[in-house]
Amino acid sequence: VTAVARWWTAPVPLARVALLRAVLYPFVIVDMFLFVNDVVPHGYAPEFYKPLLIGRILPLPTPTPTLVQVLQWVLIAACLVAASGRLPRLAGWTVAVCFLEWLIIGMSYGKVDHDHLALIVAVLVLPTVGRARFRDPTPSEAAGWALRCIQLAVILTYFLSAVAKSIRSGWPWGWANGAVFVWAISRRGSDLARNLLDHPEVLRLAQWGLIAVELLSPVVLFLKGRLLALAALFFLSFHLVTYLAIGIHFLPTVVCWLAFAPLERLLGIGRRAVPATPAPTTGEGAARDDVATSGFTTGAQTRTH
Amino acid sequence: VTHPAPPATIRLTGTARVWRFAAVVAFLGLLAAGTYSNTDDSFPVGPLAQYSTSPDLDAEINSAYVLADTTDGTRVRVPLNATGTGIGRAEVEGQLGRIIENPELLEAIANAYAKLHPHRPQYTHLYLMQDTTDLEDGRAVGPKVTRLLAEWEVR
Repeated sequence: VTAVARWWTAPVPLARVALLRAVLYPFVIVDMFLFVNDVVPHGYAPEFYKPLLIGRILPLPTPTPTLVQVLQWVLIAACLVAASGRLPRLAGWTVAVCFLEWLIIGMSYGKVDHDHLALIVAVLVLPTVGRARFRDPTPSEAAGWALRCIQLAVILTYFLSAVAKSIRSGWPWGWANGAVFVWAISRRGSDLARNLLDHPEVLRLAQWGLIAVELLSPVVLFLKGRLLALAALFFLSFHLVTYLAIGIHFLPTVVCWLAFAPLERLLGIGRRAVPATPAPTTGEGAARDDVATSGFTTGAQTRTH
Repeated sequence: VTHPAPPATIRLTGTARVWRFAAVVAFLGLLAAGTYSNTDDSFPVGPLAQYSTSPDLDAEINSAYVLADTTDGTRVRVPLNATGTGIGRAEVEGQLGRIIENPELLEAIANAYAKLHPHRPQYTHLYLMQDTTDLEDGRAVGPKVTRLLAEWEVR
C-alpha cells in the first residue's frame, strides 16, 4: 500500500503544474471553438436535445442560445485567469464546472466524443494543487498526485477503449478480425487511406496491432526517460496517422500527454541537482530522488544556473 | 560547479491524502461502471467506445446524409456539421430511427440552418438518404445502393 501511495504522490515541481495550466486552460478555449464547437449552434435545434444520464439525474437546465452563450463567456474568462496561475482554485473550479456542463450539452444531441477523458480529469485535478508559480522548483506531492491522475486518464483512454472493443465484440480478437477499419475508411477515409480498401488483410493486421498496443498501454505509466519519450512519440504518431487516414485527431487527449513531460526544464528548472551530501535513503529527504525521475530524462542537460 | 540543493518537498497532510485516494477510487469505480454499462449515455464516465463495434467481414456499410431542395431551385447536400447546421452526421445517424418515425424532426435542421445562415438560399424540402455498400470478406463489392429513408416538406 505504501509503494502504491508513494507512486501516486511522487513529488513534482510546482513549476510543472504552472506550465501545464498555461497550456491546458487555453486549450479548453481552443476546444470550445474548434472541436466541441456545436454547443451554441445546437441551441437552435432544441428538437434534437436528448439529455444524457447525468443530465437526467442532475437538474441541468435545458440549453438555450442565451444559456450557452453566457456559459461560453464565463468559461473563456475563467480559462484565461486560470492559465495565468491567478486564483488557481476559484478560476480552476469554475472552469471544471462550466467545461463539464459545456461537454455534457455538446454530447446530448445523439453523438458522444471519446477523446475528452484526460482533459476532463485535468480540469478536475488542476485546481487541487493550489498556488503554483512558474519558477517554483519546489517538489510537491499535491502536484504529483494531480499529474499522476492526468497520466492515468491518458492511458485509460487507450486501455479502456480496448476493454470496450472486447465487450462489444465478445473478445479482443472478435474486434480485431472484423471490418472496422474498412468501415471507417469507406465512410470518411482520405484518398490516401482509400488505397488501403483494396488490401483488407493489411487493415486487419493493423487492427490486431492497435488492440494489442491498447491492452499493453498501462506499461507506459512505469516507463522513464528515453523509453517514456519513445512511447509518447509512438502514441502521438498513431494519432497523426489516424488523422491523416480518417480525419480524427484526438487532440484533447494528445495535449494531455504533456503531463508526462518534465515541462519545467523549459524554464531551466529541475535538472537533477548534485546533492551536497549523500542522498538519505530513509526519512524526509528520501523521496527527493523521485522528483527528477518522474519525467523524461534526456542526455542533454548541460545548462547551468 | 555546485548546485543548490532542491527545496524541501511539500508533503500532503493526512486528510489531503485520504480524500485524494478516496476520489481516485470513486472515479475509477464510476469509470468501471460506465465501461460495463456499455452505453454512451454514461458520459463522462462512459465506455471509451470509439470504433469499438467491428462489423462482420460480410456486413453492409451504411452512411446517412441529408439532401435539400432550396429556394433558388437547386438540390444540395446539407452540411451536417457544427458550423453548417449545428447537427453532425453522427448525430443524425445516432437518432436515425427517431427521425424516420418523426420526419418532422428534419424541419429542425432547416430551421437551424435558417438561423445560422439567414442570407443563403433556404431549404424547402429535405431528404434523409442512406448509401449502402456490401462487403465480402472485408472488400467492397457491387455498386453503392442509395435509399430514401424519410423526407419532409419545410413549412
